[in-house]
Amino acid sequence: MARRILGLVNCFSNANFGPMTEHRSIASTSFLGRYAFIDFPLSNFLNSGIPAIGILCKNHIRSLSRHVGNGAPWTANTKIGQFQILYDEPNIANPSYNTDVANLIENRWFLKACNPDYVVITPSSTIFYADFDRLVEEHISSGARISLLYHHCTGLKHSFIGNRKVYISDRGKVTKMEINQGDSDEGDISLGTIILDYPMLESLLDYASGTSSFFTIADTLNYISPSVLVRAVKHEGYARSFDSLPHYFNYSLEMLNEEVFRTLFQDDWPIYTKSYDTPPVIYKKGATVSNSSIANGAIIEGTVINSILGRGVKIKKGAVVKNAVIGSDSIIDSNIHIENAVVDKEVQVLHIAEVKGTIDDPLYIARGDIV
Amino acid sequence: MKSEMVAVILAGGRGTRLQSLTAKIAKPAVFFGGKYRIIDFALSNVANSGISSVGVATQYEATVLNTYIGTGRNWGLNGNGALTSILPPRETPKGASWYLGTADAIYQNIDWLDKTHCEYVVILSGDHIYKMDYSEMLAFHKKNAADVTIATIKVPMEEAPRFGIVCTDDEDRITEFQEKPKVPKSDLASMGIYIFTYSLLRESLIADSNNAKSSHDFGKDILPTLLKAGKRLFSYNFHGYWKDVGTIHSLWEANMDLLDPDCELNIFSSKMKIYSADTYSRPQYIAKIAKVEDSLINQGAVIRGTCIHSVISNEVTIEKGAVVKDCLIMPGATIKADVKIEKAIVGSSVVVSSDHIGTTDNIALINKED
Repeated sequence: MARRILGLVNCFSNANFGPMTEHRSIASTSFLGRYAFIDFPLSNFLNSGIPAIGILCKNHIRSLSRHVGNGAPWTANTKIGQFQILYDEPNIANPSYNTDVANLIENRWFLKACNPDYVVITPSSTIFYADFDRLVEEHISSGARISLLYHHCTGLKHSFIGNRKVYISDRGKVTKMEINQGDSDEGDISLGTIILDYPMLESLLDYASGTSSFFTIADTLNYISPSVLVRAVKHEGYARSFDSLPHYFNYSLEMLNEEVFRTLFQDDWPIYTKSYDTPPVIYKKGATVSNSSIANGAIIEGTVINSILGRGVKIKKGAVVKNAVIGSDSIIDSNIHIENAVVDKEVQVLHIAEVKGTIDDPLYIARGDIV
Repeated sequence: MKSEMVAVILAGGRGTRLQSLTAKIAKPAVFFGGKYRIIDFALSNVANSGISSVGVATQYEATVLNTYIGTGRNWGLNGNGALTSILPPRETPKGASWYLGTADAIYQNIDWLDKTHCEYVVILSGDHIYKMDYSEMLAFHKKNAADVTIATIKVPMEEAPRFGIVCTDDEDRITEFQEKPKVPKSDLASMGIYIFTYSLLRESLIADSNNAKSSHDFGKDILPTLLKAGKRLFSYNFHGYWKDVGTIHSLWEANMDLLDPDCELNIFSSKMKIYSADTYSRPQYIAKIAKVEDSLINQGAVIRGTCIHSVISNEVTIEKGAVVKDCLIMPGATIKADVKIEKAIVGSSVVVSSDHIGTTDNIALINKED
C-alpha cells in the first residue's frame, strides 16, 4: 500500500494584520483578490498528492470554517482522504496554553485515525511553493528523524520577525533555533515546516508536554535539536512571512511584478480555492487599468493603477485607485481617489474624496464600513 | 425523492453551423462569455428553478460534454435526493439505435422518466442563452390545466419566417403551428422549451415511436399531432433575453450582447446566477502597457496589448502590441505580439500569429482546423 502522509496546516502564529485580523485568522484572510492564505499550504498538499489534511486552528474558527468548508476544493478522493479542522476547545480562552502542541494533544484521536507513516506540518501565514512529495522522499532517504525547511535571506531586520532563526552545522544539522528579533539582516530563517515520522511526532508531543505546558513545536525543536537529528533543508525561490499589515500590503503589491509572481505560481501547480461563481470582469467604456490584478465579478468604470481588486469590486466612473488592495464586494464611488490603502471587504467609499496612506503605513478601512 | 417536475436537456446535436468549433465537442459544450459553456445556462436555470432531477441526452462528440456534466456538482445538482443523469443512446435487449430525433431521445429514456415518478417534464435545449424560472412556467401550465405548455418569445415580424411560429387565441391557447412560414400569422416564436404533463407525454411518445412515417421530432410530429387531437396546448410568453447560438454569427453576437449595458441577460445580477466549473486560474492581470476597455475578461487572462469591445476567456494571453477588437477569444488562446484581430472568434488554445479582420456580416473564425 502507498505511503500514508498526513498534512497539517499550522495556524498558530503571533502574526497579525492589526484591525484586519481582529475577526479572522490570517489563514482565511484574502490574498490577491481571490485566495485566502491557507489555499497555498492546502494546494501544496493536494498538488503533492497528500490525501489526509488537518488544520490546527488557533482561533477565529468561524472565518476559517466558512472558507474551507468540507475541504472539497483541496480533496482529491473523498473516501481515501481526510479533511478536518482541529480545534483546542478547552484552551481557547487561555492564550498561554493554546499552543500547536496542546492542539495536537487534544486532537490525538485524529492522528490515530489517520495513522500516517509521515506527517508534514506547515504554516498558514508563510507562503511558498513546496513539492512535499519530493521533500518527503528526500527526508526518508536522508535517515533523519525530522527535516526542517529554511530559507536563506536578507532583510531579516524587518521581515520574518517572530519566525525562528536557524543555526546549521556544516553537516546540515540544526544546532539552535531562536526567535528572529531583527538583530542581523542576513541569515537562515525557519519556514515553520517540518517533516517527520508519526512515532517521532508522538514522542515530540510527549516530550513537549512533559517539559512545559507552554511549549510550541518550534520551542520543542530547539530544545531537542542537540540530541535529535533535525535536518535542515534549504528552500529556494519565493517565501514570505505575512506578519503585519504593511507587509501584507507590500507583499501583495509585489505580486504585480510578473517575475515575482512566477516564483510563487508554478506551472501545473494550481492554487485551489473556494468558488463563488462570479462572472468575468467587465471593463466599461472609459475604464483605465494598468499593472493590476483583478478577481472575477469586478465592474470597472474608473481608473485602476498598481492595485489588487477582489471579487465583485465596483470602481465607479472618475474614481482613481492607485497602489491599493481592495477587498471583495467593496464599492469605490465616483470621483473618489484612493492611494496606498488596504480596503477590506464590503466597504463603501462614498463620502471621503481622498483616502490616502503611505507605502509604509497604508490606510486601512475595516470590513463593511461606509466612509 | 419524488420530483414534481424533472428536466430533460436535449444536448445531442452537433451544431454543424458552428463549423470547426464543434469538430471535437458538441454544441452545448462550446465556450461562451469568457467563462461558461453554453449548457451552463440551461443547467443553471434548472437549478435556479428548484428542479432537482435532470437528465441530459447527449450523443454527438459527447466525451467532453459528459465529463463536464459529471454528477451535476457545478450547478449544485448533486445533493441528497437530487439526480443528474447523462442519457446517451444505449444498447437494449431490443437492439441499439442512435437518437433519431428530439422526441426519440426522450422516448428512449421513458424508463428513466418512469423511475423519477414525476408529474411533469420540462424539455429544454442545451444550446440557448437565457435566464428563465421554469417553476413560473409550471404554475402557468397548472393554472391552465394544460397538457403541454410551450415557451414563446415575440420576434420582429420580418424575422418570424426563421422560427417555428405559434398562433394563439385570447387566452394563450395554441390554435396553430407554422414551421418557418413564408407568411407568418403571428410573431410568437417557439423557444423549444416544453412542459408536458408526463402521462400524456409518455402516451404520445409511444404512439410516435410506432409511427413509421414520423421523423420523431417535437416540433414537426408530437406537437402538431397533439394539437390535432384537441389537446390543451398553451403558449407561455417569455419576456427577456433569449438567443439560439446556432451559427458563428449568432454566437459572436450573443457574446457581444454581454458587453451591452442595456442587455436584459444580466450575468452580473445575483438573481438566477449562472454557475460554471471553476478553472482555479489566477486572477487576471492587466499589464502596465495594456489598454482594456468595454470588455469582459475572465480570470487567468493576461493582457499586455489592447483589448476593445471583446470577450476574453480564462488563460488567454494578449501579447504586447496586439490589438483585439470586437472579438470572442476562447480559453487558452494566445494573440501574439503586434497581431491585429477584429470581428473574429478565436478557438480554444489557438495561437494567432497573423492579422485577421472580419466584418459584422462575415465574422472571422480562427480555429485549429482552419
